[in-house]
Amino acid sequence: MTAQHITSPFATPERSADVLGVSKTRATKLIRWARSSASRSQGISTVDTSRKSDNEKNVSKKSVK
Amino acid sequence: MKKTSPKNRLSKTEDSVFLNIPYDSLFVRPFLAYICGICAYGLIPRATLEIPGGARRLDRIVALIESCRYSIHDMSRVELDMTPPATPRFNMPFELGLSVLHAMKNPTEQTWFLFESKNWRIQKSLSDLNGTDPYIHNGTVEGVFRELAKAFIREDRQPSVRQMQGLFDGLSPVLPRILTDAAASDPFNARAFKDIVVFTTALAQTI
Repeated sequence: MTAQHITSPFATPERSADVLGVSKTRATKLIRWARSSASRSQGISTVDTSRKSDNEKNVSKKSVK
Repeated sequence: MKKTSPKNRLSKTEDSVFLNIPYDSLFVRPFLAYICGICAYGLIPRATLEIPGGARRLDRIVALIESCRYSIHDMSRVELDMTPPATPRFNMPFELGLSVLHAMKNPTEQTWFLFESKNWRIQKSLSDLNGTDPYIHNGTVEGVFRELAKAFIREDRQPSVRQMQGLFDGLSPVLPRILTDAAASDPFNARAFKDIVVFTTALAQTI
């Protein structure tokens, strides 16, 4: 398949909340958490180097779809 | 924020991605990886998780699929669900079929992508799609990010796999709190899913 060029504007959290029907109060709280989380991490990220399938890392086997 | 009616929320959205994945506790990490990767591209994941049960569920699923500019169909867990009575899992191939038909009839309105964890399996499980190259993610978080980076290009702000991983790492410590607030045991819950998307979209703005 050919890669798709995305031309739509970058979604804001306010737009996501509107599309998904999340209340403004809840969205504000989630946005605050995200910004505070970003400040704490200061761009530091870790890389998942595990070779084990992520399917296999979980233990319970409930399936609903 | 202006309250939006369900009808308006399903108007055609250029920045939405219909995510067709197994709602399965064995698939939690790939599911979160899809959300993080899609948000890293400035897109909004949508899923049937948002749709309540009821007689009009199928109508709502079709409306949701048709409202999205893109759709991702993960066929990596098509095996028998052994919960009695053991049955094949038809929902994912069914929703793939709905998307394919919609895209065939409206080629400018939706682009669909086929994802799998194992090479060559889709050629056996769904040979009608022979000639369509699936994106093989090997069932890993990193694999999902890698394949999303092959599927999407954003010239103004192309996220790296490392940045997608950064979102995943940023989400992980907050996830228990989101699940607690939703009284959910996993992210396959409407409220938890929506909260995760809004949180990750906000986090994506910082990368």
